[in-house]
Amino acid sequence: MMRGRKEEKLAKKSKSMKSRKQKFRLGKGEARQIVISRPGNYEIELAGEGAEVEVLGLLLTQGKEKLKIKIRLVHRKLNTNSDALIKAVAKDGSKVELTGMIKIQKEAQKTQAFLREDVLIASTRAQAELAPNLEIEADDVSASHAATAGKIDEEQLFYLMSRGMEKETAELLIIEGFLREVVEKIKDKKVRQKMDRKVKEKVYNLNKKVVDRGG
Amino acid sequence: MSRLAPIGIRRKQDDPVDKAYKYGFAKSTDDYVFRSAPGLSLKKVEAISAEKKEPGWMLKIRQEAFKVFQRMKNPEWGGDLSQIDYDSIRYYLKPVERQERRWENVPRDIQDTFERLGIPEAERHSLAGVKAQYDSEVVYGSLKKDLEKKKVVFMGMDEGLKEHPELIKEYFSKLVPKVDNKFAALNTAVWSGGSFIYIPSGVEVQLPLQAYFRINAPYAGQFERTLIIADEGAKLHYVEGCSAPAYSSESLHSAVVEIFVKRGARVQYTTVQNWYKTVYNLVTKRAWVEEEGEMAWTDFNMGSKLTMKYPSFILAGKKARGETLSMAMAGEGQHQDAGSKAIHLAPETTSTITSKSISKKGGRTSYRGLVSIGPEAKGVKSKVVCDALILDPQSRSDTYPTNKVFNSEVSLEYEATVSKIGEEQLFYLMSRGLSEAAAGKLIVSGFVEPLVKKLPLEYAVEMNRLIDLQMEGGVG
Repeated sequence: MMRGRKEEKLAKKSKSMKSRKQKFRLGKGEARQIVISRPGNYEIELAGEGAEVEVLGLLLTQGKEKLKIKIRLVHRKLNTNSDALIKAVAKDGSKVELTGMIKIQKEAQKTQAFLREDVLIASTRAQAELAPNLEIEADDVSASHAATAGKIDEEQLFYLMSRGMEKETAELLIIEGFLREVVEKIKDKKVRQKMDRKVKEKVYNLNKKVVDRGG
Repeated sequence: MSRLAPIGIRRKQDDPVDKAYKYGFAKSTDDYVFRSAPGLSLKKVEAISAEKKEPGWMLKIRQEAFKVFQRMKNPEWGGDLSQIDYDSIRYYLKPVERQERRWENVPRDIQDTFERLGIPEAERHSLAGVKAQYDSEVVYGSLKKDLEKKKVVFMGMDEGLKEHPELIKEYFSKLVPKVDNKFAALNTAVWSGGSFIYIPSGVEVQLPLQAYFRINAPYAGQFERTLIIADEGAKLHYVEGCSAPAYSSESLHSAVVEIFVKRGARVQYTTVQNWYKTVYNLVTKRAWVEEEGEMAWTDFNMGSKLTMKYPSFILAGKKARGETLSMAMAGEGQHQDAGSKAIHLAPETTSTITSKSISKKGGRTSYRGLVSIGPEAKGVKSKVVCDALILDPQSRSDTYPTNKVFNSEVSLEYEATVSKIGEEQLFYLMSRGLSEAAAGKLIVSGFVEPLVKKLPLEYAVEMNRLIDLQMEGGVG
């Protein structure tokens, strides 16, 4: 098929943003922290007794993007724990979709599962869809999930502006702070620093050099 | 005495299947005036309309709906609908020719049934008015004099169609169209019975209006259609309670309720559902709420084999409010798939959905809900809280919420927790002398108390007794 330059560019772009599928499997006694920063389908299986997983997710959508993070967390064995926190920001006219399914199977007694999805809708035209699901077949468990969506807190904005900051800058700072909660929980130093940089880049739309310079 | 309690209580130890079910009795259906053979066809739909002597436009609505029913498929989500055999259900049964106003003239058979279910008791307790349905037809109703003076209309749907055709034509099927889902189409084609209520502007109906349904014959489907219109500033509380006898053949209940809440009006619709464990209860309930109007659904699901029901409100006017309190209890062989849908179209609207569910002995409860906040709906606040108790390892609990937000000026909160009865709570109560069973019952009562206290007193009492009964069947 013959493609013009424009089509070529679009095709490349959509490929990199193509839905990725990743699977994680934790064995007996294994403890892991999984950081998700790109859209896609993620399946996490707690297949061994005593396995523990902490899932941290961050996503920022802008322009006309429509991005989705779908997480499926399956507890198969006794005494498994999961703790998931996903935070997303939707800017401009973009849409963010967060779907989280926690499934606790019959054998997975004494399980603790927790999932939280928070979306900051940073522009008037932005949209969000949140669907945290639970399917529980064991009784000796403690499972909960929560979802919130809202815009930038007026009071926080007022506070920053009353200290001389311009509205646009204040908004960006609040957005960075919103995502920072997740970044700060990342245990691996290298990953944490990388995410910190990535968040700053995306939020302030700056290139790498400026950020490294501390600008 | 509580409104839902039978007057006579069987002392014999019955079949274990019936033991937990107090309302397990049936009347013969051979003396029915008009009996519909099993299965459905366009001719049968036309026969129903002819028998009721309906206007042409209603016949047309039924015919169109039947065609839609034929081509639509069962939903692919929710409970297991694979066992429903549409060809073996009877869709229309009518016990008496015309609606009776005085209790004494109602056939003995039917009187007995309602006597056991406590309807005369209710009358004595001066409830506003009672409409009692017996297999597809509103048999008896009485409207208190002061309601008549206020020009409140409260009658069966069939009677309503004869006396207020223009009003019904204006609203019928406008909120739940035949294409909404397969069961709405079915209901629109074969509906019979149900309530028609119109409350004029500014009128407050102090006492709850009640209706009572009953499925009797095997394979009898109940397809009542209810239409409630509350004019500006009106206030109404409508209570619906159900029961069915112990039959092992499947029974289909597919009702549709449409409610129009006009400016500043308030409607509360309470349902106590206690169908026997062989009944499929697939219901579509929806309210349209105008500016500063308020709609409250109080939905208690205790019975049936499978219930799929999501009472909804469309908040179409500024500052409209919607609230759903949903309780579901699923025991052996039961699946309660219930929840609510809050659709915010207008600004400054608020919605609250509270769901409490209990599953035991292999039962399954699923909360299924939707909160949708449209692009014009600025300044919206929505809060959804779901709590579920799983009482044993064989049981199951699910939550499937969907939250769609199309503008930024919103505050949306959703949370759900699932757990079993706390060890510490049990220990505490047992250390004070209660047996494990009694402690379990007390904890479950406490769990549902915030919802039960929203019921009218006699229902609250009966609800607590029903819950106790369900718990007795299971704990230990």
